[in-house]
Amino acid sequence: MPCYLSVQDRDLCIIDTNNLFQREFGDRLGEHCYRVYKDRDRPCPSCPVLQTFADGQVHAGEETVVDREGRRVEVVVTSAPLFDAQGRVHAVVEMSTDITEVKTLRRELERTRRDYKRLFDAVPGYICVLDRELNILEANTLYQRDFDLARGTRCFEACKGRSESCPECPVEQTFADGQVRSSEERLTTRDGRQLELVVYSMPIRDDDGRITSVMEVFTDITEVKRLQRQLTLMGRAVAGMAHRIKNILMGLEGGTFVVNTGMQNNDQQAIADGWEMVERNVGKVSRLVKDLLYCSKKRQLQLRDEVAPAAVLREVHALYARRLADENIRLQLEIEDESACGRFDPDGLHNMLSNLVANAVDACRFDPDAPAQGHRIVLRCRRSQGGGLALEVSDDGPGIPEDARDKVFEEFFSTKGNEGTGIGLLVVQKVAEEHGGCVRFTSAPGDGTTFTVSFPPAALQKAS
Amino acid sequence: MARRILIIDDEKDMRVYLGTLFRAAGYQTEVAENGDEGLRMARADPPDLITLDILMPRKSGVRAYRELRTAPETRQVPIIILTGLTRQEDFFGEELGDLPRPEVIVEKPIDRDGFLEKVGRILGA
Repeated sequence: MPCYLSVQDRDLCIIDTNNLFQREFGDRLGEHCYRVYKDRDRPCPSCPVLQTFADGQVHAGEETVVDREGRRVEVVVTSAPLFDAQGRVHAVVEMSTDITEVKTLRRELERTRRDYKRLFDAVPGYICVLDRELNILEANTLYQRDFDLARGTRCFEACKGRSESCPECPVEQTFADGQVRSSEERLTTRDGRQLELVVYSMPIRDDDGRITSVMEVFTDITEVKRLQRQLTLMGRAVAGMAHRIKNILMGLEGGTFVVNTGMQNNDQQAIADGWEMVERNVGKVSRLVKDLLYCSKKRQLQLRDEVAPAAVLREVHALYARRLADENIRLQLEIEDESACGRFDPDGLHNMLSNLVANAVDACRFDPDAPAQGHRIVLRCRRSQGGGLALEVSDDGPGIPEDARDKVFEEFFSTKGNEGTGIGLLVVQKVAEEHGGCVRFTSAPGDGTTFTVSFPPAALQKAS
Repeated sequence: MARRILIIDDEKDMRVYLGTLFRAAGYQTEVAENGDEGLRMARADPPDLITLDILMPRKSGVRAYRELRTAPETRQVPIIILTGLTRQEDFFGEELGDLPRPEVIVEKPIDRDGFLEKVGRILGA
């Protein structure tokens, strides 16, 4: 038999054994079992053999015994009664099965589980395990930190605060077809961070191959997406720039041709006209290059204290108001707080505002439904919620429909407008970010477009 | 008798350039700053050729093209379209419909000799 067998009498003396016993423990007939198995001088507490003597039932337990070489062996002990002719228990058979290996494996399994749990928790992404009803069975530390599991036990409750599952849920699809699925998600963490993530859902199967749960693994691609958007913006800017440079080249070629023709024919007017063309286009190139350099260099921000953005706004307003005087475009100034000042780069602000106004002018000029009374562009300086400052340029040009919002950047880079340099938006973004601010726009067809650059309160000092 | 070319373009640079170019080649020229003005001038006294900048403020280039091609006084006048963008189809896709296409579409920056050669071919000069 693959276990040790010993038969004990009521005194717990060993009266019979099997071969395996003898091999492991030696010839120990007549000795007490507690001496032989455990080198004790009295019975073990909760001895199963004594229990069997007491009630005639089979008893079992786990024990650790010591063999003749001093090796510790872990065993499962079963004790069964042997009845005499009168039905009394006159001896008990003790069967000990070696479970050392089993116990070792069990311990290793525990350790492995702990190691995996540590990995699970340490992964720098979100992982959760869901059942068919999308209840969260397990979630790693990061997941629990960033999503409020108190909102609900189901993933859409905790992650998104929804009351029902998301349309096209990859987890539900994986439960249905057992395939690995992925999707892109936008989630907001508990502390208000907006993240863009790619989610993989993978089936977890039991030994019969049935899907018992699905694991969801999220990878944060917010930064990647931001870079992607920036690259797209820059790509469009480059395309737009090529277009504008083409136009400038035309102007220069044309100008030189006209000057040469004028010189050939001694036509002073032609020489003057042609030269004016050359000058004008040299000016355009200058502005374009200036913007390009501004965007590409790691320019040191020339921050100065006591700079009043309202004053810069006035300068830009004055500059354009003169030029637009004879077109049907009115330039208005709305300044809430003249004295608000802080640490700004005045040249950067000027550049940024000029670009926004130039783009607004182009939008108005190219409005296919120009109203009879002309257009209005408002330059605004106001306080924003949270105590910061906002500079705004609003036009009442054509506006951009909801489904063309993404294309708005393209508009700025590819319209023919002469005022903007084509990469103005990049400049605006750069200046805004350098000051710790950001640029947003709102637009609706018929309502025009408003670009708002918001500076945080940190940029402002208290007005002196 | 010298052929007359009407130049319709919102950019002064182009008006001066093309004007000088055509005059140096022996043509007479007139200029219009926008599609509406160009249309008026063309209907009043139809030229032998029109060069039209397609991308002008308030879509006046496309409007002018449609009008020129449908008005009885001007529908026979050949038109050369100038465009700075390579995506020409964007303007002609739905806009043109059944209208005849322009005789020539020229992309800016123009190649002077090639351009004059096309003009010469159209005017039969």
